[in-house]
Amino acid sequence: MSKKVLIVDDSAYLRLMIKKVLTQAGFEVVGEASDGEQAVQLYKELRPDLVTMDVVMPKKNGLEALQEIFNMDPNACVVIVTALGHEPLIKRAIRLGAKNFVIKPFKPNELVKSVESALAS
Amino acid sequence: MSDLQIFDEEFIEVFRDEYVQHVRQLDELILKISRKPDDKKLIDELRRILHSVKGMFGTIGQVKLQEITHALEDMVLATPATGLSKSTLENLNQYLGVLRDVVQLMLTSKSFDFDVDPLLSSFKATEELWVKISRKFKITVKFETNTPMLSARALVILRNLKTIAQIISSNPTEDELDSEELGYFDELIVEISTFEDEERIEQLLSSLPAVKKVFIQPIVLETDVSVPIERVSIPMEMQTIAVKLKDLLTLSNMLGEVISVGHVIDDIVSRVQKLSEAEQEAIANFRKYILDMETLLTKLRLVPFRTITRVLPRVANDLARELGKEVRIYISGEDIGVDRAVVETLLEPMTQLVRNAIIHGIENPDERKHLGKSMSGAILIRASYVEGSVEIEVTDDGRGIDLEEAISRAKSQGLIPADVDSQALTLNDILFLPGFTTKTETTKTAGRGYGLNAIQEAVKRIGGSIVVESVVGQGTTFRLLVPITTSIVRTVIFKVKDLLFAIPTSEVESIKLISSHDLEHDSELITELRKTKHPFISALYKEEDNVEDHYPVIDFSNILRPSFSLDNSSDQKEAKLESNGSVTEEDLDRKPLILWRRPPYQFGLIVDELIDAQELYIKPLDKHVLQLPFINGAATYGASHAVFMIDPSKI
Repeated sequence: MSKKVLIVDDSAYLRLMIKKVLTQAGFEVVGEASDGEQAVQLYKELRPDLVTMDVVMPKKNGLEALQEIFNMDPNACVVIVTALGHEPLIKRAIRLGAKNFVIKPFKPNELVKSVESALAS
Repeated sequence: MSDLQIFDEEFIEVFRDEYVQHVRQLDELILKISRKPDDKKLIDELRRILHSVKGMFGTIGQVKLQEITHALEDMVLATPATGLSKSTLENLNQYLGVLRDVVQLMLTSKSFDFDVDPLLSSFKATEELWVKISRKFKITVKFETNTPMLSARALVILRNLKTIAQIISSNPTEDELDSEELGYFDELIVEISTFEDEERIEQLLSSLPAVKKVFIQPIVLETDVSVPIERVSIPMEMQTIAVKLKDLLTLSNMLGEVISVGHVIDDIVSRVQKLSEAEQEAIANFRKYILDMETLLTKLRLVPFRTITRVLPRVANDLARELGKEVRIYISGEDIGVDRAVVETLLEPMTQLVRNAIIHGIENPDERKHLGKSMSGAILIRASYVEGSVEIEVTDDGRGIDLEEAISRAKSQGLIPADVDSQALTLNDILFLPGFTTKTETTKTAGRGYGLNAIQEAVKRIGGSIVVESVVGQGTTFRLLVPITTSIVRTVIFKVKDLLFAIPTSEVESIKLISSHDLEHDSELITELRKTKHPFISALYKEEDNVEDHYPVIDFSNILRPSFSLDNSSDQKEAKLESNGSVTEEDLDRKPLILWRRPPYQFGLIVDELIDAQELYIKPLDKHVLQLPFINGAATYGASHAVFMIDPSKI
């Protein structure tokens, strides 16, 4: 059975890109959220195997969403997708429990690799 | 997985919508900012959108647009408190024009690999932006011999180049090519600045008729600071805060203590039989954070090398004018980061080295002309990273230093015995002697009390070294090797008589296991030891134990003999080497021999046992505890062991 993915990003084209890459790599994208609040809500409903999480977002940012998701499910598998220059945020996310990260803009293969390694760990 | 599978029609549409939205926002923002250029909120917003747009261009592989956006983002980030400059605004408006045209391209091309070159040819960047985004090349075009209408061919080449580049200069010039009087030529040399890379230029030119060969060299500008450039520091509000240096040093001292505690913990952990996974992870994290903090703190304490070099061109120009000489200073590696303490210590020595070069090295313009050198002398100052240290070179192309003359001067000044064997001496042995002066009768500005000995002392104080190389008639190089940072040092730790000592790893040439038998009979080893000018082998182990050995206050100098004293002839040194062979074989049997170097010396030191190689946080020793010249600090190792740091230059 293919793994269920929730995509969180405030940029529509990036959501679509991640969706296309992961779908082609055999994942099933079950939901998309454009801010942190929506992300937490959808996680509760969908219980996906994996979340790709942007960090800088309106309403609730990625770190806050991450924290709430881990409160709900300590075993959540989250991969951070963020732009260069946000290293401190990435480090904080990893401390919170994020499994891996991808730097935007990314190559399709990079995304697939980090997602797979996150799920394997 | 190729990108094509991702970039389908659906994706292009979504991408375009988002892109158009950004362009619209930028449009409004730039208009607002042009009315209120110092509104920080607006500028922050502008930067955020530029950042997103940069990411978009990166995603679709439009590298040139990505680079331009990146450069603009940088310029906006560096906005001074007075607000966005007119020229940046001008660039932004130009850029906006390009962005709008890109929308059209996206609509018509139905793919992302559209060609932006036609758009960029109309993009008028200001000089400030152009410098950031362009590359400079020197192009040499060789023509086939006997090409008819050569000047017309060359003109075609210039026209072609203009489609992708700005022409900085050409030889022959366009005007010359246009005129009737141009004589024979078989090559065209053009300097251009462009967005393009070598490959594109090559492709453009080599397809043209009559072109035999094209050479393309990137132009890398050597920093020529003979004309001092005013460097304006840009206030980066919100990005930086000022911190008291004292607090930073306190923080780094405290981290030093934490590192020591970390060693204690390592020691405890090594004795614990079983650790849970979580505990192991916690300890691993602890180590990692300490390492990160250490790296960051080291970085915080670094200032660019230019802090030292900034004043040098002026010093050089003033002095040169005073002496009626001509000097150009070339500086490279100005961005190399150096510890503040290192900078403070090196400022005076570096100034003096440059002064020395002008006073003693560089000849008068007439003399230089007579020698076939260019009238103005050159001084090259270069800093670079070498294996965890910073190497700084000060080179001049002046008259050089004559070894014979230096030796005889040192003898006449009574600094070395008159009967010393001159063959064994190098400039390094003479120039840094206390009291040695290179003063000649012809110069009146010499001296000033800061001789090479003082320079060497200063450099050694921060754990560095200085050597000199010179070729008579060609010039002199002083080469300094200084640590990037002063307090955390990678060391080899060894044990002698139950006491732990450490020396910096950077000083260690090699470590061998040897026996006394080897010392006498291993010809290769002996050759290696003798190859160095002042071989020194000493056993720390002595037969007669004395009470003092049990205290840190052992008289080391008794056991470690000075490697190099001028009153020893080389024969006596050999004798000394052999006399050490009298130590009984059991004592010396297969013990580690640490060879370390501190040019021009090399030492061998036989120790009891090698313990570890580790980063130690070296604290200065309290003056009351220990006053041995060659111990320059202490650190804690493991739970409760003190390690004494040896300063090899003092032995």
